[in-house]
Amino acid sequence: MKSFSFKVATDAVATVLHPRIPHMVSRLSVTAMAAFLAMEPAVATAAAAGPAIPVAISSTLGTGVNTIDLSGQVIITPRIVTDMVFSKKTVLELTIDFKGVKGVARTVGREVFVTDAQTIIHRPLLSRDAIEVTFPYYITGNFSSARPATATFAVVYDATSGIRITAVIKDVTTN
Amino acid sequence: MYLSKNASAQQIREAERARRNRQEIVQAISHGEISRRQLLKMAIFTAAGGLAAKHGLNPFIGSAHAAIPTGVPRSPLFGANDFEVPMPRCDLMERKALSALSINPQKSANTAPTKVAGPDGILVDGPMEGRPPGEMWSHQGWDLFPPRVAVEVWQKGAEVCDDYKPGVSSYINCGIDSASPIKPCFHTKMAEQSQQSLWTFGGTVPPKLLLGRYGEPILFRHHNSLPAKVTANNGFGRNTITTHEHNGHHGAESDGFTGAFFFPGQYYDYHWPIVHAGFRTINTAASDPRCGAPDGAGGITKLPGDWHETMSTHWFHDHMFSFTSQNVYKGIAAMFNLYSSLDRGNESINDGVNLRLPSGSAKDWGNLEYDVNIMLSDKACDANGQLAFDIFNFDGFLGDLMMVNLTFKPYLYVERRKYRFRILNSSVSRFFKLALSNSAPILQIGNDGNLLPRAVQLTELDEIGIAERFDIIIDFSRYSDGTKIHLVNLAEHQDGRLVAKNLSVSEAISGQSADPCVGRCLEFRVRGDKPAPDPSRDFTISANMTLIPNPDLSSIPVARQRTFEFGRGASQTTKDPISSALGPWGVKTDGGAMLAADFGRRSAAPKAGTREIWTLVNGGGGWDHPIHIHFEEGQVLARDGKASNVPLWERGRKDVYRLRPGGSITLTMQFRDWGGMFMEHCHNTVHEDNAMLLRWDIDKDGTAKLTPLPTPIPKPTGVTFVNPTATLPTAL
Repeated sequence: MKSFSFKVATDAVATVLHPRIPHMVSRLSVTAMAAFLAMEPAVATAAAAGPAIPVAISSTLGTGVNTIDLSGQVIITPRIVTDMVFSKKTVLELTIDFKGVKGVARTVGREVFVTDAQTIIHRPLLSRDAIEVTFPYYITGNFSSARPATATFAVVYDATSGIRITAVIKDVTTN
Repeated sequence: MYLSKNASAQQIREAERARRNRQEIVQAISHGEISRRQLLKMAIFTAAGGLAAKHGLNPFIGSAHAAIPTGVPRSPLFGANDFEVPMPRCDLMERKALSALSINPQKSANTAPTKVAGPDGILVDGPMEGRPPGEMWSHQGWDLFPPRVAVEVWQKGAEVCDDYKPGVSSYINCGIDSASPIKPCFHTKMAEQSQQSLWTFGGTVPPKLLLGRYGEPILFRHHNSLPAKVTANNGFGRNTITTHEHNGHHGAESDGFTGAFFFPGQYYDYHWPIVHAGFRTINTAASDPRCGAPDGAGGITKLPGDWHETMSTHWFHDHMFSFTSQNVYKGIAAMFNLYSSLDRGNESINDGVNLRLPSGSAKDWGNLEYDVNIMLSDKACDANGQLAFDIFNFDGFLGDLMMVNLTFKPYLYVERRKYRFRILNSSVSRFFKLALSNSAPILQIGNDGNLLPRAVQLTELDEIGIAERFDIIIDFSRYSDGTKIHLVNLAEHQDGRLVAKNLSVSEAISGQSADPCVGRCLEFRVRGDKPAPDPSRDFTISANMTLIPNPDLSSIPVARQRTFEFGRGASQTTKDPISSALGPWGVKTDGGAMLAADFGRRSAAPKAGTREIWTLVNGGGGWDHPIHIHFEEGQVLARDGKASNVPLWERGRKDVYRLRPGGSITLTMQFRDWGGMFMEHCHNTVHEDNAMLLRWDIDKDGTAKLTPLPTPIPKPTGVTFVNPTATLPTAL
């Protein structure tokens, strides 16, 4: 005969007996199976995709002969996803596309750095959040020339005006 | 969820009691003493499928003395620190001649009698092979692709490894002496795992790696040498198994169908023909060297099929119905590298076909010096240091120990050059999001089993879902000797449903996260006074970023479109005690009811030789699902209805499709070459086991009329067949 003797914090014992034993009393209330089957809605999604938000950036990275002027637009597509079953925190999904960003090496002038990096971020939706992501930029197609940069996005949300985003780009110090 | 390092003794005591209570439940399920249905009736699980909200049981409920959640006690470390031990390379499985097998393999199952573990471990007379008998389960393509290599492995409890074959020198393998015995433990200071705690291929660690090549069919003989008694499992895991070669393009009899499990005392012969998809209709004259395999002497053996379907990084794992999570977690998982003329594991052969990805040059194919398999997983141990499975609810299991190749936070020496890493997420429910600690660029070259059409430069990889594989290249040439760089996990979990928060690199390595598996997990130690020779592919040339373009399906008509919604609140319409399971998870097919798994129910039946479009929908915003479709690679057409939403790294072929919270994904795939019954399921294996799985069939003869494939019902005395319990009205 199978039973569970659960020790709890007060050292009291809650015993749940195997249902093969008829007429035994469980200290936990029994829930009918039908309730389990009917309890949750079949569809429990509320995902709202907002319009893409262009975020202008302009920054100088590196120093001396390695100075690069980075500019352009980061395109951010937000989605707000509500958990209608567990009522947990609303999820903010940001798809961040850096391909509108270009860099020019200041000393050479012609050497153009590009990126086609994308990143997808999931965070709890807050009224204010600072989201830091990194991305690589490189001479067209040249993996070995790639350098990382950090983009910090200030995300402000309210239900009336939606999402506003500004960004700051800075170098990543690599060892 | 896991208690902080500063938790009080009382908190730890309460959490430990609660964990023991939960483990009693897990043990009862694994021993077959109680079913999930009975647990629901006993209200140990709530109507919503969660663990009863009782302190002393549920880790998310406040303790008797405080409002904070009871939590889960952290695993003991026994003084182990991060990055103290080397990361072992995977242990190569032996490839041998078919003549070395003591019993000849055969097309249909070998039903000769032997002793098989029956109920309570008592031996009964049963068939030697656990494969369902008869023509329906005989090997497809047996005569066309007779096996040329045999791999024979015994599934068993932990034991010392005394024949470790890393495939590389000790120098390359961080100084590990492969001649020395290796104890089954996660760290030299941690407890040795018992035979009942850890079940791996061969019973040993490091995890196994199989090397195979196209055109060389494999006979994979899997012996079940697990304990005869179902109770001899240290409280979790089921001793019946079925092995899925993820994502092999094989006949269903060799796919590791969830209902084709076998018992201790039996073996199962899987026939993996290792063919390029489309071999029956494309390049049938085998004239294209891009559709080929290394011939062993620097040349190419040309093969039929579509070279665009070439695959590279696979793995294989247990798929036991309702127990996949426990069995895979317990160690029944291994990696499988597939080699081809395009991806031959030799970086020096420059024949205009070979992509020369970082690997090595000493052997014609399959060099591993600079081609490293990384199996990431999270584990947890009980107070004695033995591997422990927990059940917080039906939503997922999270461990607190980060393992790389079943080693706790190891280090890896690397030379100053490019390396390829084949990263597998072999966790139960945990997603990872990986970056380097210095945010250095990473080149992603593969997604799941497949090289991408074009390599993608990133500094942060996307979340890698359970069972997904990301092949990446890291260039260490610019670092100086002694530099240390870390692989960092940025994905913070609070439960097993989804990633709670993606952190920045600086946040992740700050040590502030409450999730013990966030942060550094693997330390790369760069060595060498100067850059090492590196004849591998030159990625400074833009054209070299092109790898394997997708198959062009535009001329193939779309025969059907189907929609599968993955959600909660599933009902069960069938009652077969072996083939049906209970939710709360389920799948709604083509707008029908949300149904819990029954491997006797046919939810879809694509016609052989056709192409279809499938849309997978996440029916909730509070969870994510990595959905795996067996059999053939798909191409992602859209996310949330738009092609432009498909990120660069998902524009190749895939076999696991992360839905994302509240998201949907539309893909197309073909159904060709082989037939039988296959599966589609969530690879958060706790979801899969409870009961987010469905069966779909391909008719072998390709006719419009669906021939009902009888469902196998394995028993120790032999497999019987029953008619399908149901066929959904939209299956055809």
